[in-house]
Amino acid sequence: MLEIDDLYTGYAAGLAAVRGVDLRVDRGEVLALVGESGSGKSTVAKVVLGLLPDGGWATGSARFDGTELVGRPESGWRSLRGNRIGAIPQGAMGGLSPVHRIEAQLVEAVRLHTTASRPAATARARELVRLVHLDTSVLRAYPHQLSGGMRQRVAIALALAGEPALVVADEPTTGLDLITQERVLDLLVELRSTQDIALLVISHDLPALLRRADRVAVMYAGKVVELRSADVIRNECVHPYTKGLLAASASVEPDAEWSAIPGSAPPLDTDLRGCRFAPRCPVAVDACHDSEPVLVQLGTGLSACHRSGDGLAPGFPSVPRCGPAQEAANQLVRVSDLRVTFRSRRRTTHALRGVDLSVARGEIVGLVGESGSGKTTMGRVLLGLQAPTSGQAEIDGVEITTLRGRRLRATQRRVGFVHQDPYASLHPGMNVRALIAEPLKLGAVPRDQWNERSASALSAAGLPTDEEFLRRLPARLSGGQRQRVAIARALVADPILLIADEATSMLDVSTRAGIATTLRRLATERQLAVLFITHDLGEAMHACDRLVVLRQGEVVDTGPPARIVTEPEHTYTAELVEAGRRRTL
Amino acid sequence: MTTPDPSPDPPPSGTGLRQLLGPAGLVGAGIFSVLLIMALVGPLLVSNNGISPVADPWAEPRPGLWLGGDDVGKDLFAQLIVGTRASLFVGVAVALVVTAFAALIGGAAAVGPRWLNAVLMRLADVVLTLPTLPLLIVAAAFLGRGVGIRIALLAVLAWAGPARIIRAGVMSAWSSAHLEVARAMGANAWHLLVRHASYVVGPLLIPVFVRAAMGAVIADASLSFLGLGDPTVPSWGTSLFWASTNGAFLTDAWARWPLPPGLAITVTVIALGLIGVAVEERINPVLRKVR
Repeated sequence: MLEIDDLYTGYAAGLAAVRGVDLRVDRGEVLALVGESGSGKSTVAKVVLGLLPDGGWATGSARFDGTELVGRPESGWRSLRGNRIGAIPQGAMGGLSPVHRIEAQLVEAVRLHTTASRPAATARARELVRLVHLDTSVLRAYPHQLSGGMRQRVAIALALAGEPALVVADEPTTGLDLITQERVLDLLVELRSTQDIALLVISHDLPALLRRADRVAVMYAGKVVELRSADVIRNECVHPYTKGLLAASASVEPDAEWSAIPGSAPPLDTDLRGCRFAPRCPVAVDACHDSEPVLVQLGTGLSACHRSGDGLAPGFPSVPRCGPAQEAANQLVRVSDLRVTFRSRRRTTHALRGVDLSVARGEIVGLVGESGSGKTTMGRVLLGLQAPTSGQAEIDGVEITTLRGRRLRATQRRVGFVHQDPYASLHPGMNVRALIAEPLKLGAVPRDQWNERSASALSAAGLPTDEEFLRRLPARLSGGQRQRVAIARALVADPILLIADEATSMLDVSTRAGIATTLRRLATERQLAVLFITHDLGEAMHACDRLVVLRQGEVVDTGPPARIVTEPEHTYTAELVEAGRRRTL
Repeated sequence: MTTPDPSPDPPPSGTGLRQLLGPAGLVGAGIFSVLLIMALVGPLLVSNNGISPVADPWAEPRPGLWLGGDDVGKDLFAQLIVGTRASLFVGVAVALVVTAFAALIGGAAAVGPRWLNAVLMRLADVVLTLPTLPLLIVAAAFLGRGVGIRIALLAVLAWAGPARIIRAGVMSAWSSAHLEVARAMGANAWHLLVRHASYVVGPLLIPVFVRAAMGAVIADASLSFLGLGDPTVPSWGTSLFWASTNGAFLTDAWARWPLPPGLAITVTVIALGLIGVAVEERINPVLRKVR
């Protein structure tokens, strides 16, 4: 139904984001297009939806039921987009109109794309809402009254309004909790059979799609490097990148390895002669650097790799296992019965309801919970950014909840903080040198020690220390590099505690395990206490010595990772483990 | 949660004036620089200061007396050139005071205690509701005609709007991630303001300054035109006042007496407007064109 042939496309003249992609989506098929940021996967979706921004270009061909999509003028899209090709754009659930009821938005979409009369469109809206398994009471609601998962279901219903034959979903689960993500993906796959539509799902999350897609196309640096049936890809994939991606997704099984692919994806303008993955590939040989492999039939699918016939198992560095449990005498952080309540005129929110927590020196404690569980609030209390309503929080014998002014700032300097967003947490006008030196300046460290301490923090975070790198502004760093700069900045003032708030969540899958490895090394070498805040149980499993599961401001489970997974004490933990397990089946 | 494609969309970086202003803004900046140079060195280039008579009353233009003379034979061209300084001085001075006030009051309201915010913003609301021109006229009539008083008056009436803009800017800067990280590092408010908030708020000051200057040039000309300026110091507004008093608008002298200072005011305001709009378009993400 959708046939893409030799598609080249890009956003600026001469820079191709997609370099020669051939793809087919058949009637009633689910094709998963998987890759990391910069792989070109979303760009392919934009071509199929005619949403390339001004200045974007495309050559080659993309045909939908025989209709050519490349080079189509905007006026020619009206009869296609929304009617025959439905779209669930990235962040669609945030794109609902905040001032119209769901019913009005659905009716508008139906009437825009079909000739239905108003009563017919209203009936259709009810039908659409039932299709996505929402109660019809949702029709009377405004978007802000719905949860993220419900809004995403409404966005899916909107995409179905024109009764399309093909639906393109760009990162349909972004911003949702793990359990909700699973349910939304289940819904999409179910609609494929009940509504007789084909699905093109764009995602960075390979494991989540394995069980649901028919075929998986893995993209790297603008090319499809592997295309294979989804049920066999885990065992039969050939390309080292696909293997790396699978190993880089943390599974909840305690015995599984969690690995990182070293390095980062090449920028669009790099002029590489050979395989684009070669610089990061553990099994690359000379031929890989010299000529670019083409997609050829290998086993049950297609792969583009020179070493594919050799049956090699590429070894990617994996996160080291946790050490023996720390003795209680070494406790650095003691939190007891901590409560935080936010009051506004309208309502009272209990962010934390009596939380106990402890972190020992050299220990990594994982604070696991969904958005709204209070995990970030917990971190903010320990950072002195949020005053608790009641309860105690002690860092190295100092009660921080009552500190103010100068004495609070002195304690804050002993705690390192890695913010979840490496793109916003670095001052865009400060270069690496100034960024790293900021805690030293605040701590009044003598200037002649700055260079030495900065260099040691940079190498501890796995970064180069040369002059060229020190002069770079954040805009010239990759996401992984930015987060490492943030880690180096958190380390430079010799903290006793490091708080990493979702430190990996905005990074590419392939680099996440590298950050966790760095944290583990720091905990061991510097006897640093680390609080690893995350929503991903799998990552916490592999990165931490002990887990604390938070739900709606309460600790529901705590203990070593292996115990949490094998014998969860709370039904919520069991649910989390179950959702994690289903991804790895 | 996960945001897998963080689009690298850096804010327009400060790679020079050219990028900040764009073509239209550059034109505005060019015109304004010419006016500034005229204000600084212009009085040295004319043969008299336009205060004492040098020709016959209502003298026709001739070489050396390019715009002719006024009702007592003062050099109108000299008045135009010399008047540039007084007109621009009021504009720039008011803009400086307003920008400083707006930054201080807006900044204090944004980061200060809640009661301070309430007091300052209610005060701003009151100032915003004042009818500007009538108040200016009454105040100018009672408080005297000195330049200092006029600047103070215009500044007092103009700070409120800009202060609210700055307050909003500081508040959004205050919640930015890099500022939060710095606060968690144990940075005091001064460091946060100078090192982190200024980066976000700094560019906001340019349109605030330009708009205040624009408003002040017009208000000052209006006051002078109404005869509430200092009639002995040449300025564009004063020229208009004398032209009006002598009925020059209705005579053949309209093209050489009231028109040039009127045009000068218009050109100044347009130049400032070009700069302001250009800068605003580049720093306001809502106005920035979707790429």
